[in-house]
Amino acid sequence: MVSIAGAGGYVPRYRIEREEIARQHGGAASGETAVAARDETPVTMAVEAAGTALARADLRGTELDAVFAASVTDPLAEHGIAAHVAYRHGAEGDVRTGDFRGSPRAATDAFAAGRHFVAATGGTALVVGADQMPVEPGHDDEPYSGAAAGAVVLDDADDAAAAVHDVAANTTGFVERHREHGEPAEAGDRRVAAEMGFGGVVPDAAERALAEAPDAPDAAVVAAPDQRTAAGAVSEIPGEVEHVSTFDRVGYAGTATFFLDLAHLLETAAGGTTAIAVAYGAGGADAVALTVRDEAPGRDEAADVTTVAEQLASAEYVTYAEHLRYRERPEYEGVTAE
Amino acid sequence: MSGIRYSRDRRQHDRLVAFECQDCGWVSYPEQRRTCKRCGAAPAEFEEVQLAERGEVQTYVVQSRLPEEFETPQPVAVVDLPQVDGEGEPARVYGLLTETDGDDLEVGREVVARYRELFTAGDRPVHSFKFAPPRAESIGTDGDGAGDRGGEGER
Repeated sequence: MVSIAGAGGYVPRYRIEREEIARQHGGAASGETAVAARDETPVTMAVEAAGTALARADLRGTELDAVFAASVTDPLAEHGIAAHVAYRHGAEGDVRTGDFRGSPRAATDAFAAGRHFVAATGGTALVVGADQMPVEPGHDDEPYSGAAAGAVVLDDADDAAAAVHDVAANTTGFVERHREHGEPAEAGDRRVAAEMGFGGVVPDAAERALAEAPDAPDAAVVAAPDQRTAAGAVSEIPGEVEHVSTFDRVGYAGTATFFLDLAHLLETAAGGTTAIAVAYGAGGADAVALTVRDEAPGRDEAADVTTVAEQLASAEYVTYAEHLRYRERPEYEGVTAE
Repeated sequence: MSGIRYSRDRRQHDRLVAFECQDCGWVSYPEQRRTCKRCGAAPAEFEEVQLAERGEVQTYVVQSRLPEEFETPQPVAVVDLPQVDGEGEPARVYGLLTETDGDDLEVGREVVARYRELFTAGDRPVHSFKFAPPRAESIGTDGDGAGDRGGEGER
């Protein structure tokens, strides 16, 4: 069975209090949102999360056979993330890489690709998601557009941090929320989206993913652009399910939300917890069913890594002006392409 | 690390690979030299060594006046990075600091290497290492220290 050998999250140090944004444009908002520093990119954040996941799995990057990366905000159409993360951590040569994008569901597309790779080859795969969501001053999404990264290492060891029972897909082709490159999203009609989109597809995907699980789920991760939608999806999962989420401290971080919340769950859940992890995106949803193992090596404290909870508690608050400025790409004078 | 100009040095800038003079032990980073800057051996025999990602500030300065693309104040430091196997001399590395208050710096301070965008070549990001105090030191300094399980949002 494919397992999660280690997981790690990365939350930028800078945060903005949502009240600060509400003060500029009216309304009310609570919580805070992660803001990537000017020198942070999806690549640098992915590298951070991948380093933690590798440390937890007690693996060197040179031992990886595949690296898959998901992002919906990589500013470059051609450049990729996976190969850069792989090389940075020492994986080169006969290493399969893949970049997944175009939908927040790319998170589970990449996860599923990693799982298939491990099942087919017996190798070890690193899967990362990293995003910094764009903002437009005054847009409804501005207070919640966050930045983060998360990563998992997948292998077929029997004593790894969590056993992955199945990854189930529910593809409908229905698309409401959409977004142009560098722009905030057009959410469309939320009621229609909830009925025909999220609400309609998550329960079926979750049920099929859990078919091989030993128990009903105790906890759930649901990556969605807003917390109401995510909480609604959790409520559709049968039984008493705890919603594990970083939304109140990070905001929505695209594909990273799935991996970050999954890492937070694996770091905090009791051994034996069965969980469901869902990513929703254009055209459907995917669900991953897993069970956290007792005293798994990949959940032990690893040297020189911080937990998601510790990173949430390590914050420096920025002003509204800084929050906008940090999201602009700096133009470096005197440096030109060769 | 992408682009011809920067790819040549990508082992240094992506992996903290340095070069140790086999005559005198001096460690060059990031330059891959033919002549040893300390003992003058020419051509010198250099061997690759792996630097640790945690080192010690030897000296620093906080810059206040810089072009617009830099955030100011911008601390810069000379940091000794030991070799990861604990052998040999450390490399003396010059680097920018990120997310660091100048008041939090002092000679002898421990810093860690953070992989960041250094600048862009055209539209292409050029990544390398900057330095910052260990993230673990700031846990609970501004946040409330609580993890978020089951948090409800306002939307």
